Amino acid sequence: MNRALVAGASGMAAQQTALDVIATNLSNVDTPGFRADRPEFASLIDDAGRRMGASATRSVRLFSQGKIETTSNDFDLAIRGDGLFQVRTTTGAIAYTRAGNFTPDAAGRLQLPNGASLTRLRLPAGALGCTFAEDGRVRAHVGGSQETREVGRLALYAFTNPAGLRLADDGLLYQTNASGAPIYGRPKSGGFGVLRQRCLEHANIDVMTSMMAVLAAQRAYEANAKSVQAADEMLRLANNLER
Amino acid sequence: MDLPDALASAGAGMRVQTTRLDSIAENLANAQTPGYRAQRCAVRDFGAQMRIETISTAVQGPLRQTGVPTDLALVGPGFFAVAGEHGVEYTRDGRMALDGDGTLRDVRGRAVLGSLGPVRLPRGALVHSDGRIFCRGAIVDRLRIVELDGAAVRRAGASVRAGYLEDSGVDPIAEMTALVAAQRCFEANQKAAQQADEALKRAVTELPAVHS
Repeated sequence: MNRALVAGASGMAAQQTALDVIATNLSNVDTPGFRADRPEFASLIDDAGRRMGASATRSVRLFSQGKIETTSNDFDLAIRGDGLFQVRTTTGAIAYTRAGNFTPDAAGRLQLPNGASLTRLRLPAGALGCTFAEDGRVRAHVGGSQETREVGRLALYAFTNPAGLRLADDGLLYQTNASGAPIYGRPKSGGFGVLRQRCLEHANIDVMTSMMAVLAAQRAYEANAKSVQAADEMLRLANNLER
Repeated sequence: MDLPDALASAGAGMRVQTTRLDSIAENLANAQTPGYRAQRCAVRDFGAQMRIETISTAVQGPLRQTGVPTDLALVGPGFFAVAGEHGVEYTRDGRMALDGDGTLRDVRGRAVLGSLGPVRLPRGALVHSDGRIFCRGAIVDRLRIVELDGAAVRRAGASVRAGYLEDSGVDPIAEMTALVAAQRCFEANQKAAQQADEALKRAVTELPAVHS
């Protein structure tokens, strides 16, 4: 009798956690480059090998492609395929992101809205009409010249286990022991994706699928509540044996 | 049937329905756990001595496309072999992920075993449907997929689908129906127990009065 109560309660808690994960995903549906989390359910088994219901404590960050939207900003960059931008935060730490809504600062560095700037690329003073090729080469008119010249090349990074990256509250991803060391590469080579200029990658969240998951979590929560109710009802009947 | 027998049967019936509810609650809690196998209760030795056993069913769960290359689904009977704390363990849960060293691990962090021990996936490696792992056209390893027959372990013929997960084998509608049935059966047994108790009470308190 107790086991049904425990299993039902653990199932309800698991669905609650799953709903939290889905809600976080949905609230970031318009965050450029946001990577969705997937709630992970697992059955709970106690030390004696008895089954104790389910849990949803762990979630896995998905690195599938998000939808790419065309914009009119020269410094909106998107990656189609594998790879992450490497940025240096305002505190000097190295972080990684798929967000590509950059703006150049006075020193010629490409900055994200949170102040982190792209590493390994610095536009020379007076660079105009920047173009970013699919392989990451950056060309610009420098010093009023008619011809464009190459002013730098963008690098991309990948990880053996990108799901192991830590998402910090500044929205950037940080390297951890679980993620492994960064793998350096260029766009359009060695398995890395291609670079797209005047494009922004949206969060890799499908609103319809997420809404379906909300409904499923809600119903599953109800089903578990029913097993708690049934266990309670049986206990009541057992107590009423002696009238 | 003697009255004490009726009481014992009703009590055993209530116990059976309790165990049934336990496994139904367990199934409902795991209705979204990939690779979970629904549990069924089997009642044996019908009579005053009822025995109930909980067994795992071997129903294939539906496949769901996830697009995550390290999600592996098994089609057909078989288990993945993983390195547990106390030796080799077996699972159908195919939510694998690479750790920082490139070792493939399951959702509980156990290393997935191949023909040469823990499987390491190089960048760009693909898992073939027979469990072989290819990297740039060359075979690098083969997943150990086995069938358990009592204590014997042998290679299984199950095929692997990368980018898919086997969803829980629980049918929520069947479970809810069983839940209601278990509750009502329990109630019926409780009524029977009450009636038997009532009859016993009369036998004990009223019959002696008639004879005196």
